[in-house]
Amino acid sequence: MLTSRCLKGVVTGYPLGIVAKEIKIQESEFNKDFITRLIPKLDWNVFWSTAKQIGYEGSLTQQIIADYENNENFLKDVHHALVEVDIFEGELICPETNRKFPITDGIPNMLIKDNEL
Amino acid sequence: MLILSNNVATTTFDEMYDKSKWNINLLRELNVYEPSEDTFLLLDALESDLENIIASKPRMVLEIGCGSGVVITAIASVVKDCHYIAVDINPNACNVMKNTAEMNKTHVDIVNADLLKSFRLNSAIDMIIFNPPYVETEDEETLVAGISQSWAGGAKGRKILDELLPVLNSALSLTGTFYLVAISYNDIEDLEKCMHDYGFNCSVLKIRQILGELLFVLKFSKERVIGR
Repeated sequence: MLTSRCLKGVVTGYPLGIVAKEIKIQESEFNKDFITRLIPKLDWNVFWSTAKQIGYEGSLTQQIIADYENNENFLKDVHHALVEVDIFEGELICPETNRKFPITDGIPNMLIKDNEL
Repeated sequence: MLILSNNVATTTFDEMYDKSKWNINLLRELNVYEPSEDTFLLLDALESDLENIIASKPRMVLEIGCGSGVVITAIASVVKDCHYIAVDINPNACNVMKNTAEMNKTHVDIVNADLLKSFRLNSAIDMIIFNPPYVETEDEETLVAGISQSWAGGAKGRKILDELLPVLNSALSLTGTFYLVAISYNDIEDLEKCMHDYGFNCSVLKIRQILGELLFVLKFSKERVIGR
Protein backbone atom coordinates (compact mmCIF):
# COMPACT_ATOMS: atom_id res chain seq x y z
CA MET A 1 0.00 0.00 0.00
CA LEU A 2 3.02 2.25 0.21
CA THR A 3 4.49 4.07 -2.77
CA SER A 4 7.38 6.39 -3.55
CA ARG A 5 5.28 8.24 -6.14
CA CYS A 6 5.80 11.51 -4.26
CA LEU A 7 9.52 11.52 -5.14
CA LYS A 8 10.56 13.86 -7.95
CA GLY A 9 10.47 12.15 -11.36
CA VAL A 10 8.91 8.95 -10.07
CA VAL A 11 5.93 7.95 -12.20
CA THR A 12 4.46 4.93 -10.41
CA GLY A 13 6.78 4.14 -7.51
CA TYR A 14 4.95 0.91 -6.85
CA PRO A 15 5.36 -1.71 -5.64
CA LEU A 16 8.26 -0.94 -3.34
CA GLY A 17 10.96 -3.54 -2.91
CA ILE A 18 11.59 -4.76 0.60
CA VAL A 19 14.61 -5.92 2.58
CA ALA A 20 14.09 -7.34 6.07
CA LYS A 21 17.06 -7.18 8.44
CA GLU A 22 15.18 -8.23 11.55
CA ILE A 23 11.80 -9.92 11.66
CA LYS A 24 9.65 -10.41 14.72
CA ILE A 25 6.78 -12.85 14.85
CA GLN A 26 3.85 -11.62 16.89
CA GLU A 27 1.37 -14.41 17.38
CA SER A 28 -2.19 -13.40 16.89
CA GLU A 29 -5.44 -15.31 16.87
CA PHE A 30 -6.46 -16.63 13.45
CA ASN A 31 -9.87 -15.40 12.37
CA LYS A 32 -10.95 -17.16 9.20
CA ASP A 33 -13.83 -14.83 8.42
CA PHE A 34 -11.74 -11.69 8.85
CA ILE A 35 -8.88 -12.91 6.65
CA THR A 36 -11.35 -14.03 3.99
CA ARG A 37 -12.95 -10.58 4.00
CA LEU A 38 -9.56 -8.84 3.94
CA ILE A 39 -8.13 -10.66 0.90
CA PRO A 40 -10.21 -8.75 -1.71
CA LYS A 41 -8.68 -5.53 -0.32
CA LEU A 42 -5.15 -6.71 -1.03
CA ASP A 43 -3.20 -6.14 -4.20
CA TRP A 44 -2.56 -9.89 -4.27
CA ASN A 45 0.41 -9.93 -6.59
CA VAL A 46 2.21 -7.29 -4.52
CA PHE A 47 1.33 -9.00 -1.25
CA TRP A 48 2.64 -12.32 -2.57
CA SER A 49 5.86 -10.85 -3.96
CA THR A 50 6.49 -8.93 -0.71
CA ALA A 51 5.97 -12.08 1.37
CA LYS A 52 8.28 -13.98 -1.00
CA GLN A 53 11.03 -11.35 -0.80
CA ILE A 54 11.22 -11.82 2.96
CA GLY A 55 10.80 -15.62 2.77
CA TYR A 56 7.33 -15.91 4.29
CA GLU A 57 5.24 -16.86 1.26
CA GLY A 58 4.54 -20.33 2.69
CA SER A 59 1.93 -22.05 0.52
CA LEU A 60 0.90 -18.77 -1.13
CA THR A 61 0.98 -18.65 -4.92
CA GLN A 62 1.55 -15.80 -7.35
CA GLN A 63 -2.01 -16.21 -8.59
CA ILE A 64 -4.61 -16.31 -5.87
CA ILE A 65 -6.30 -19.71 -5.70
CA ALA A 66 -9.95 -19.76 -6.73
CA ASP A 67 -11.57 -21.27 -3.63
CA TYR A 68 -9.39 -19.67 -0.96
CA GLU A 69 -12.34 -19.16 1.37
CA ASN A 70 -12.51 -22.93 1.86
CA ASN A 71 -8.79 -23.52 2.18
CA GLU A 72 -7.92 -23.06 5.82
CA ASN A 73 -4.19 -23.72 5.40
CA PHE A 74 -3.98 -21.10 2.69
CA LEU A 75 -5.88 -18.58 4.84
CA LYS A 76 -3.61 -19.36 7.78
CA ASP A 77 -0.55 -18.60 5.65
CA VAL A 78 -2.12 -15.29 4.60
CA HIS A 79 -2.83 -14.53 8.26
CA HIS A 80 0.76 -15.34 9.20
CA ALA A 81 2.39 -13.24 6.47
CA LEU A 82 -0.06 -10.36 6.82
CA VAL A 83 -0.69 -10.08 10.54
CA GLU A 84 2.01 -11.94 12.44
CA VAL A 85 5.20 -11.18 10.51
CA ASP A 86 6.49 -7.81 11.62
CA ILE A 87 9.49 -6.34 9.83
CA PHE A 88 11.23 -4.75 12.77
CA GLU A 89 14.32 -3.46 10.96
CA GLY A 90 14.72 -3.19 7.20
CA GLU A 91 14.04 -0.98 4.25
CA LEU A 92 11.59 -0.29 1.47
CA ILE A 93 13.10 0.47 -1.92
CA CYS A 94 11.71 2.68 -4.68
CA PRO A 95 11.52 0.55 -7.87
CA GLU A 96 12.50 3.49 -10.09
CA THR A 97 15.20 5.38 -8.18
CA ASN A 98 16.36 2.80 -5.62
CA ARG A 99 15.80 5.44 -2.94
CA LYS A 100 15.64 3.55 0.37
CA PHE A 101 13.04 4.17 3.06
CA PRO A 102 14.25 2.82 6.40
CA ILE A 103 12.07 0.69 8.68
CA THR A 104 13.03 1.24 12.33
CA ASP A 105 11.26 -0.40 15.28
CA GLY A 106 8.67 -1.66 12.79
CA ILE A 107 7.87 1.85 11.53
CA PRO A 108 8.64 2.77 7.89
CA ASN A 109 9.91 6.31 7.43
CA MET A 110 8.38 7.55 4.18
CA LEU A 111 9.29 11.21 4.67
CA ILE A 112 11.20 12.85 1.85
CA LYS A 113 13.38 15.95 1.87
CA ASP A 114 12.41 19.18 0.10
CA ASN A 115 15.04 18.62 -2.62
CA GLU A 116 13.48 15.24 -3.47
CA LEU A 117 10.07 16.73 -4.21
CA MET B 1 -20.97 2.66 29.35
CA LEU B 2 -21.76 0.97 26.12
CA ILE B 3 -22.63 -2.71 25.99
CA LEU B 4 -21.89 -4.37 22.70
CA SER B 5 -23.90 -7.39 21.73
CA ASN B 6 -21.87 -8.85 18.85
CA ASN B 7 -18.30 -8.25 19.85
CA VAL B 8 -17.11 -9.08 23.30
CA ALA B 9 -16.06 -5.65 24.45
CA THR B 10 -13.78 -5.43 27.40
CA THR B 11 -12.96 -1.77 26.99
CA THR B 12 -15.04 1.31 26.44
CA PHE B 13 -13.66 4.56 25.17
CA ASP B 14 -14.05 6.03 28.66
CA GLU B 15 -11.00 4.09 29.68
CA MET B 16 -8.88 5.98 27.20
CA TYR B 17 -9.39 9.09 29.33
CA ASP B 18 -7.47 7.28 32.00
CA LYS B 19 -3.86 8.40 32.03
CA SER B 20 -2.75 4.83 32.78
CA LYS B 21 -3.71 4.00 29.20
CA TRP B 22 -0.88 5.98 27.72
CA ASN B 23 2.62 6.79 28.88
CA ILE B 24 2.57 10.44 29.83
CA ASN B 25 6.28 10.49 30.66
CA LEU B 26 7.26 9.17 27.25
CA LEU B 27 4.85 11.60 25.62
CA ARG B 28 6.41 14.58 27.42
CA GLU B 29 9.96 13.34 26.92
CA LEU B 30 9.40 13.04 23.17
CA ASN B 31 7.38 16.28 23.07
CA VAL B 32 4.27 14.82 21.46
CA TYR B 33 0.81 16.46 21.60
CA GLU B 34 -0.90 15.39 24.78
CA PRO B 35 -4.50 14.11 24.59
CA SER B 36 -6.56 17.28 25.07
CA GLU B 37 -10.12 18.60 24.78
CA ASP B 38 -10.17 18.07 21.02
CA THR B 39 -8.93 14.50 21.41
CA PHE B 40 -11.66 13.78 23.95
CA LEU B 41 -14.36 15.37 21.79
CA LEU B 42 -13.29 13.09 18.93
CA LEU B 43 -13.39 10.06 21.25
CA ASP B 44 -16.89 11.06 22.42
CA ALA B 45 -18.06 11.48 18.84
CA LEU B 46 -16.69 8.10 17.76
CA GLU B 47 -18.22 6.43 20.79
CA SER B 48 -21.60 8.01 20.01
CA ASP B 49 -21.34 6.56 16.50
CA LEU B 50 -19.95 3.20 17.60
CA GLU B 51 -23.05 1.18 16.76
CA ASN B 52 -22.90 2.42 13.17
CA ILE B 53 -19.18 1.75 13.00
CA ILE B 54 -19.62 -1.83 14.20
CA ALA B 55 -22.62 -2.42 11.93
CA SER B 56 -20.54 -1.30 8.93
CA LYS B 57 -17.99 -4.07 9.68
CA PRO B 58 -14.91 -2.05 8.75
CA ARG B 59 -11.97 -4.09 7.49
CA MET B 60 -9.44 -1.27 7.29
CA VAL B 61 -9.37 1.86 9.44
CA LEU B 62 -6.74 4.55 9.05
CA GLU B 63 -5.98 7.55 11.25
CA ILE B 64 -3.99 10.48 9.94
CA GLY B 65 -2.03 12.51 12.48
CA CYS B 66 -2.47 9.89 15.19
CA GLY B 67 -0.25 11.74 17.68
CA SER B 68 -0.26 9.86 20.99
CA GLY B 69 -2.47 7.22 19.40
CA VAL B 70 -5.30 7.18 21.95
CA VAL B 71 -8.05 7.57 19.35
CA ILE B 72 -7.22 4.69 17.02
CA THR B 73 -6.23 2.55 20.02
CA ALA B 74 -9.66 3.16 21.56
CA ILE B 75 -11.40 1.91 18.42
CA ALA B 76 -8.98 -0.98 17.97
CA SER B 77 -9.70 -2.09 21.55
CA VAL B 78 -13.42 -2.27 20.89
CA VAL B 79 -13.87 -3.03 17.18
CA LYS B 80 -12.01 -6.27 16.57
CA ASP B 81 -11.32 -8.08 13.29
CA CYS B 82 -10.17 -4.98 11.53
CA HIS B 83 -6.80 -3.88 10.23
CA TYR B 84 -5.61 -0.58 11.71
CA ILE B 85 -3.13 1.86 10.17
CA ALA B 86 -1.85 5.03 11.86
CA VAL B 87 0.07 7.78 10.09
CA ASP B 88 1.96 10.72 11.56
CA ILE B 89 4.48 13.14 10.09
CA ASN B 90 6.30 13.37 13.43
CA PRO B 91 8.56 10.34 14.09
CA ASN B 92 8.26 10.89 17.85
CA ALA B 93 4.49 10.67 17.61
CA CYS B 94 4.88 7.36 15.74
CA ASN B 95 6.98 6.02 18.62
CA VAL B 96 4.43 7.11 21.23
CA MET B 97 1.64 5.64 19.06
CA LYS B 98 3.46 2.30 19.05
CA ASN B 99 3.81 2.40 22.81
CA THR B 100 0.13 3.27 23.33
CA ALA B 101 -1.01 0.43 21.06
CA GLU B 102 1.24 -2.04 22.89
CA MET B 103 0.13 -0.85 26.33
CA ASN B 104 -3.46 -1.58 25.32
CA LYS B 105 -2.67 -4.87 23.58
CA THR B 106 -3.89 -3.73 20.19
CA HIS B 107 -2.16 -4.11 16.85
CA VAL B 108 -1.76 -0.98 14.75
CA ASP B 109 0.51 -0.64 11.70
CA ILE B 110 2.34 2.69 11.95
CA VAL B 111 3.82 4.70 9.11
CA ASN B 112 5.86 7.89 9.45
CA ALA B 113 4.50 9.85 6.49
CA ASP B 114 2.96 13.12 5.31
CA LEU B 115 -0.84 12.71 5.05
CA LEU B 116 -1.61 10.04 2.41
CA LYS B 117 1.17 11.12 0.03
CA SER B 118 3.04 7.80 0.33
CA PHE B 119 -0.06 5.61 0.07
CA ARG B 120 -1.74 3.90 -2.82
CA LEU B 121 -5.07 2.96 -1.34
CA ASN B 122 -7.40 2.11 -4.25
CA SER B 123 -10.59 2.50 -2.20
CA ALA B 124 -9.40 -0.05 0.37
CA ILE B 125 -10.07 2.04 3.46
CA ASP B 126 -13.45 1.90 5.20
CA MET B 127 -12.88 4.68 7.69
CA ILE B 128 -10.43 7.58 7.90
CA ILE B 129 -10.07 9.67 11.06
CA PHE B 130 -8.31 13.03 11.14
CA ASN B 131 -7.85 15.50 13.98
CA PRO B 132 -5.91 17.95 11.82
CA PRO B 133 -3.70 20.88 12.74
CA TYR B 134 -6.64 23.29 12.68
CA VAL B 135 -5.21 26.34 14.49
CA GLU B 136 -4.89 29.46 12.35
CA THR B 137 -1.19 30.36 11.89
CA GLU B 138 1.18 31.80 9.32
CA ASP B 139 1.51 29.32 6.44
CA GLU B 140 5.28 28.96 7.06
CA GLU B 141 4.61 27.67 10.55
CA THR B 142 3.04 24.49 9.13
CA LEU B 143 6.45 23.55 7.72
CA VAL B 144 8.36 23.59 11.01
CA ALA B 145 9.03 19.98 12.04
CA GLY B 146 8.06 18.97 15.56
CA ILE B 147 5.12 19.36 17.90
CA SER B 148 3.86 22.55 16.19
CA GLN B 149 2.83 20.38 13.24
CA SER B 150 0.15 18.92 15.49
CA TRP B 151 -1.67 22.25 15.61
CA ALA B 152 -0.27 24.78 13.06
CA GLY B 153 -2.89 24.91 10.31
CA GLY B 154 -1.90 27.96 8.23
CA ALA B 155 -4.53 30.33 6.80
CA LYS B 156 -7.98 29.71 8.37
CA GLY B 157 -6.41 26.58 9.88
CA ARG B 158 -7.22 24.85 6.60
CA LYS B 159 -3.85 24.56 4.84
CA ILE B 160 -3.06 20.95 5.76
CA LEU B 161 -6.66 19.76 5.66
CA ASP B 162 -7.17 21.20 2.18
CA GLU B 163 -4.17 19.19 0.94
CA LEU B 164 -5.91 16.00 2.01
CA LEU B 165 -9.51 16.57 0.85
CA PRO B 166 -9.00 15.86 -2.90
CA VAL B 167 -7.58 12.35 -2.31
CA LEU B 168 -10.17 11.13 0.22
CA ASN B 169 -12.71 9.85 -2.27
CA SER B 170 -10.25 7.54 -4.02
CA ALA B 171 -8.86 6.29 -0.70
CA LEU B 172 -12.24 5.31 0.74
CA SER B 173 -14.44 2.34 -0.15
CA LEU B 174 -18.00 2.86 -1.41
CA THR B 175 -19.40 2.84 2.10
CA GLY B 176 -16.34 4.63 3.48
CA THR B 177 -16.59 7.38 6.07
CA PHE B 178 -14.33 10.25 7.12
CA TYR B 179 -14.35 11.63 10.67
CA LEU B 180 -12.90 15.09 11.10
CA VAL B 181 -12.28 17.56 13.92
CA ALA B 182 -12.81 21.20 12.87
CA ILE B 183 -13.08 24.59 14.55
CA SER B 184 -15.55 27.37 13.73
CA TYR B 185 -12.99 29.60 11.95
CA ASN B 186 -12.10 26.75 9.56
CA ASP B 187 -15.37 27.84 7.84
CA ILE B 188 -17.53 24.78 8.38
CA GLU B 189 -20.01 25.82 5.71
CA ASP B 190 -17.28 26.05 3.08
CA LEU B 191 -15.82 22.75 4.26
CA GLU B 192 -19.18 21.05 3.73
CA LYS B 193 -19.42 22.61 0.27
CA CYS B 194 -15.89 21.48 -0.69
CA MET B 195 -16.58 17.96 0.53
CA HIS B 196 -19.90 17.93 -1.33
CA ASP B 197 -17.95 18.74 -4.52
CA TYR B 198 -15.67 15.78 -3.75
CA GLY B 199 -18.74 13.53 -3.42
CA PHE B 200 -19.45 13.49 0.30
CA ASN B 201 -22.43 14.23 2.52
CA CYS B 202 -21.79 15.78 5.90
CA SER B 203 -23.32 15.29 9.31
CA VAL B 204 -22.36 16.91 12.60
CA LEU B 205 -21.65 14.38 15.37
CA LYS B 206 -20.54 16.73 18.15
CA ILE B 207 -20.23 20.42 18.90
CA ARG B 208 -18.53 21.71 22.01
CA GLN B 209 -17.48 25.17 23.10
CA ILE B 210 -13.82 25.15 24.06
CA LEU B 211 -11.93 28.31 25.02
CA GLY B 212 -14.43 30.56 23.26
CA GLU B 213 -14.41 28.62 20.00
CA LEU B 214 -16.83 26.02 18.72
CA LEU B 215 -15.16 22.70 18.07
CA PHE B 216 -16.91 20.23 15.75
CA VAL B 217 -16.63 16.58 14.91
CA LEU B 218 -17.96 16.05 11.39
CA LYS B 219 -18.73 12.77 9.69
CA PHE B 220 -18.59 12.57 5.91
CA SER B 221 -20.08 9.69 3.93
CA LYS B 222 -19.88 9.03 0.23
CA GLU B 223 -23.02 10.08 -1.59
CA ARG B 224 -25.01 7.18 -2.92
CA VAL B 225 -25.52 7.12 -6.64
CA ILE B 226 -29.26 7.14 -7.30
CA GLY B 227 -30.53 3.84 -8.64
CA ARG B 228 -28.10 1.67 -6.71
